[in-house]
Amino acid sequence: MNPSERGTQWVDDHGDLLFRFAYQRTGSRQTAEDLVQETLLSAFKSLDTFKEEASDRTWLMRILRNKIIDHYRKTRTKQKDDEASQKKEVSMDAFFDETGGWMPDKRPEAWSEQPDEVVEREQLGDALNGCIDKLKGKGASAFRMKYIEDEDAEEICKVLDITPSNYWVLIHRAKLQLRDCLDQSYFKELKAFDAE
Amino acid sequence: MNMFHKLFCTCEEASLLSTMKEEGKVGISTRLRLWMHVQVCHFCKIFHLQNQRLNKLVNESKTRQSIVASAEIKNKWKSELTSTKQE
Repeated sequence: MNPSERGTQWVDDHGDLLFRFAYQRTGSRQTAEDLVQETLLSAFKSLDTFKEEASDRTWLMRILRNKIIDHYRKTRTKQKDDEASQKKEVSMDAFFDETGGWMPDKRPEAWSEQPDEVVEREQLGDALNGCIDKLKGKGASAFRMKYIEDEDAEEICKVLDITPSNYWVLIHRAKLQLRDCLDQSYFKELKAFDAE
Repeated sequence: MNMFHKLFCTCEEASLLSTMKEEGKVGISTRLRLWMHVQVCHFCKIFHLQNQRLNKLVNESKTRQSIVASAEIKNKWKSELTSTKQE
């Protein structure tokens, strides 16, 4: 197989996996597409130095992982007011008052039981995925990596270039947002529908 | 901070600890504070249960998610590769 055919084969065999890996970590289709393209081109250009000790897939994933780390480092460098933006990103003001108690409009209310019907379960799953898609920034990436990709905290901190305490605040905020979104978009709608 | 929050922990802390507990990152004394808080705080009790349910729902939704690259972008990647020379 010549190098060009091998590159094409990478796209067919590993394109979806690489894309999914990048998308789960960046939360952006465009960024994921660009990072995978950069990965494929980097691998292709340095094919001569590839020692074939690892599989093509492992090698490509390693390159992509480094591209993602570089992506977050560049993003961080670009943000001159990074500290301020991080603090803003992790603000809990919307959920808790100054005493640390729940804001009146964010107090959790009981949800209905798990639906038995397949259609209803699918509606709940769609609502959940819609809410996950609404998460933004590093919080979204941290959430996806932890709960969807089952990555450990150490790896997430490394890739996203964040401290362990910042990691927990991002995860906490993402969970609060997700719970709130699902409450509004599914459970409250369901309650209103049942009341009619 | 009111007396309740001084003795136990705030709702903000309790909700954070509820999530941290998933990874076993919470010591016994902190777990006890969380447990006491959840026993007397109606909203945090609900949050704690919903937090656990969310994990289950996300886990179930994993299998439903099919994130794939479009045929268009795959063709673009292939085209970039074929027009690139090796170093």
